[in-house]
Amino acid sequence: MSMLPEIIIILFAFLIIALDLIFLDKAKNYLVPVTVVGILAACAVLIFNNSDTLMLGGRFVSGAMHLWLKVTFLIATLLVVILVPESTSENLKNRLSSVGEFLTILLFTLAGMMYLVSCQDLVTLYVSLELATIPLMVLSSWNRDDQGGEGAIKYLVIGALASAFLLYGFGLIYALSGELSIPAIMPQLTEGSPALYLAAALITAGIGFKLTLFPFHMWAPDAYQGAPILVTAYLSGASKAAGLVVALQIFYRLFGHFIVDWAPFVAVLATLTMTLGNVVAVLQENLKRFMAFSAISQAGYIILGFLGNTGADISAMIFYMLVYVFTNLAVFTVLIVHVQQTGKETIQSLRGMSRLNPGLALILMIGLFGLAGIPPLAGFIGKFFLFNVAAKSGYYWLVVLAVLNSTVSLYYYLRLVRQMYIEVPAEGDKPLKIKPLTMLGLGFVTVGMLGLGLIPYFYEQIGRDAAQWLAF
Amino acid sequence: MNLYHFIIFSLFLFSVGIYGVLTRRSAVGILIAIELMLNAGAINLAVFNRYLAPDKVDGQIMALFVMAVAAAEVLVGMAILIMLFRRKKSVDIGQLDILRH
Amino acid sequence: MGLLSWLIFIPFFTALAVILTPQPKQIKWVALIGSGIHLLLTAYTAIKLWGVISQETFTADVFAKLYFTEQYDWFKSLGIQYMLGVDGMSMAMVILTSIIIFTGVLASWHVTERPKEFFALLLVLVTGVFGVFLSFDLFLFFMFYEVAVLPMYLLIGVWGTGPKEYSAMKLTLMLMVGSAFILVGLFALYHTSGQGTGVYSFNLNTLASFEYPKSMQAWVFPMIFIGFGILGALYPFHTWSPDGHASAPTAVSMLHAGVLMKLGGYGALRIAVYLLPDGAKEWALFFMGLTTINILYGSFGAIKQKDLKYFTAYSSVSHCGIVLFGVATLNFMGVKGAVLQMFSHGVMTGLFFALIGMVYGRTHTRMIPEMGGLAKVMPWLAVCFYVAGMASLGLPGFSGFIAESHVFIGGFFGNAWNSSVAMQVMTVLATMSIVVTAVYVLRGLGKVFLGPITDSHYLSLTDAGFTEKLTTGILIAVLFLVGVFPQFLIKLIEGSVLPILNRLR
Repeated sequence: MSMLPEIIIILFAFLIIALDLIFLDKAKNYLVPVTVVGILAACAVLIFNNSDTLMLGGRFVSGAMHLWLKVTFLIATLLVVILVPESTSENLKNRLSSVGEFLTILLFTLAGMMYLVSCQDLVTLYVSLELATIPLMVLSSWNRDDQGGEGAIKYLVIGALASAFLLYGFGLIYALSGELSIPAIMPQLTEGSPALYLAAALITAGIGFKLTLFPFHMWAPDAYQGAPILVTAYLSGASKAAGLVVALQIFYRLFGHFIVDWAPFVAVLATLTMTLGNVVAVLQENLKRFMAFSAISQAGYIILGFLGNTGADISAMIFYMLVYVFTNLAVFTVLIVHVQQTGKETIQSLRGMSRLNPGLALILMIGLFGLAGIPPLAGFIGKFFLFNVAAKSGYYWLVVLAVLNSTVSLYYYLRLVRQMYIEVPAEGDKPLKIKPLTMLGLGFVTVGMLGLGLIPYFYEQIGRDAAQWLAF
Repeated sequence: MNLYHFIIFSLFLFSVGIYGVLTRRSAVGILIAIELMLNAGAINLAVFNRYLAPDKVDGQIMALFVMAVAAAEVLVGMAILIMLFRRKKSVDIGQLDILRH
Repeated sequence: MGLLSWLIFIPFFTALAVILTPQPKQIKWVALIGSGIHLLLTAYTAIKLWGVISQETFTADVFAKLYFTEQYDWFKSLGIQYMLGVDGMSMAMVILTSIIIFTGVLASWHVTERPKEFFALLLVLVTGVFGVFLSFDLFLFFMFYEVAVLPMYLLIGVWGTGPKEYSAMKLTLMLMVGSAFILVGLFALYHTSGQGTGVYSFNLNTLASFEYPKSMQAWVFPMIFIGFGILGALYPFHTWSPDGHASAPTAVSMLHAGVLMKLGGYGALRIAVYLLPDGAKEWALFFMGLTTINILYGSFGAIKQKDLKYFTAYSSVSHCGIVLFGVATLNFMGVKGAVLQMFSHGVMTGLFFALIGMVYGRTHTRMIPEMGGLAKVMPWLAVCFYVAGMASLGLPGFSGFIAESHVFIGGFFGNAWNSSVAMQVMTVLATMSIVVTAVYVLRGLGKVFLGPITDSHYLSLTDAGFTEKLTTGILIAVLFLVGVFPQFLIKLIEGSVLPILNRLR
């Protein structure tokens, strides 16, 4: 029963909403622990029950590679759920309302993402993608204020547009091959037909939306800024990972033979995305918007992996995605604690944190360095492997650009470090209090940020599994 | 009616949809345009099924799924819109500009 | 854990110990004990290595001969290993760094603001430096290199003076751009040799066994050389240096000018010249020209400075230029001299900055015109300053003479591949910098220390305390020992420089 992890998630989603409805206030304190239990259970089942299986007449696969991707999603969701108590403690100015529904919708998104990994045909791909995206649009507007609404509408309109492009592209693929099942489509596609290029272009538009590539990234800054910071954290981590999974499914399993020919486009796309994200991030003052542009530029780095077409190249992307989820959530955890308790969302408001909360400041700094790609953190190692793929394909100019971009990103990440360490706290600033669950989360991500890079097992294993997964 | 008629038809619908999304000021109008685009995609699938792979039903099934998903998407859009409408008393997207660019 | 791993990680463990120390007063003692242990271990390793090397005879070997190696697979699928080793050149650098961090901790004895973070960052930085000098897998090398650069930002930005944030940011960003170039070069090396031999590896000697096509060397060599050169204050990429040194706190300046900038020269020699000999031959004259400008620009710039720290910073630019000049000569004397200069200048500049910190702590000004006649109240410091100054202009009896003479003789000899006339002209120009150095040293020091006391407040100032005497004493002793008994250092270095030159055949 290899669909058990997904079933567990869906069951728990319904369980949460049932508990919330039936027990109302009395259940309030149990919702988060129950969710955590559910996610951990799904994780456990996934890890211990892992074997290559096919279900539902070949529409659902499960194997070693799928484990890594699903675990990435599960961990991202777990880390966000752990932070929900930070957002719901009493007398907060921007308290998160309707926790039960929030958690339910979050779990639905998670389920969609997990199905996305296991899908074998275009129908499942499309429906899972929508299941992974649409609840996030709801979550973006959770704050019910002008900003949230505006961000959510932009997210929705551009998202629906992208979804329609994707669909049209799928239609063309269907026309070219007569099949909807991904393994069956690939042999049928032949090089050189204009419809193929059109389909690829349309699909790229759809994927570019999810992965916030240029020029389909426009929704991200507004949606990230308008959403509650918990949702921003989830969007920048898990939603990107979902985009990567869709990209992998399509570009490697559908278009595997052609992807090398399209390398120049990938290179240009990566350059534009990286540079745009980095350059605009320098100017930002709002933390959420800042992180949005940081996330956009990270997407630019990630797609560097598409320049090659072997297992080693994919594993660089997947490894970096895993590292990115940990690092990004480390940064966001500290930011969430800060934003929720001080109510301020600007970079300036971080001033003097190193004196008030030295531990938090240190973890934020490590996280920012991880995003910038500084050794010995896993972020550096992940970026190194990605740049390696670009170098391997002979795109040295791209490597130079990418590394220079990393330097620019270091500049804007250092702005936060500067506020924390060099500036003194403003009058009346008090240290932030951290809940024990949050501390656990922080410990976990810090270990992850360092360990994923230094311990070779993770990358090596992902490499082996990726080679197996791809074999076409 | 052969395949090409249908292709042109769905392409036409799709283009009208894109035009609608890009030019309409009313958010409801945009949602309608999106629905149009999604349904154009669905038509594609059903039609390709009929003319290019007639012995299977994949495309038509997917078309059904697409309709359900499109409905869900537009539903969420309406919900967000209603929330915004309550606050601003209008569905004009030109009024959505407080998030700095 | 192997001997070399201990050498790298003792400072790191000391940093952890510092973080865990509860009492602020104990922090500096923890740091001192840690660096003291490290110094002892370094001495032990050096003696052990000397025992082995002194038995060696000159060989025609083309691969760097490494001792005490530790080698473990890290990312096997990519050919990345945890590989440590030491040869004469590395050992010299390790000795230098160990001395500087020990005296640096001593010089920071009176840091009162957030000492915990300060010493911890200092020690983490030094861990990176040791890692660079001792690793022979290029991925590992690069990792430690970045670890060595980054703490600078915080060290200067938090504990510095003057336009510290601007200096810190400029320094960090420029050095990162440098490492960007190095990284691209590393990838080029890795992929070219991998595609050529089918074996992908970052191991230095494995990469060295491949003959890179000349066209590739033509662009990779300057890229890597410039990348390291940015750190080594190569003209015109040195602009981060004056502001960086001036704004940094004392120990940080000591470490930075003394040790970090030597990373540039070391990297240029160890990676660029060693792996890409043809590229080196092609570009040597060009870089020799740039470094000549370095040497002259630095010394002329120092004359104009009124701030003691800027004065020393420009002097450092000039002396680090001598290092890269020596590398660019591509002959035995010159390259040997480059390594000697790395060591000698490291100690000397460490001494200079330590002294400046001591004077500044008393007079609260670094402006030369404002100070005068200080020798009357601070005789010990004055003498030390003069010793440093003499070593800086190459007075025989101190290590500066040995180093600079090697470099200039090497430059004058020329090499088999470049125009001798050009090299000789440049050497003559560079040698003239000695005169200029004499000018600025004697004038500057004369103004500060000799003559009448300009400010009556100075009459109440004290001379060096015990820690300060210890700091300066150690550094002067090293300068003197190497100056009078250079044969140990030279023999140590020769064996490691030879393979590099043999490859140039």
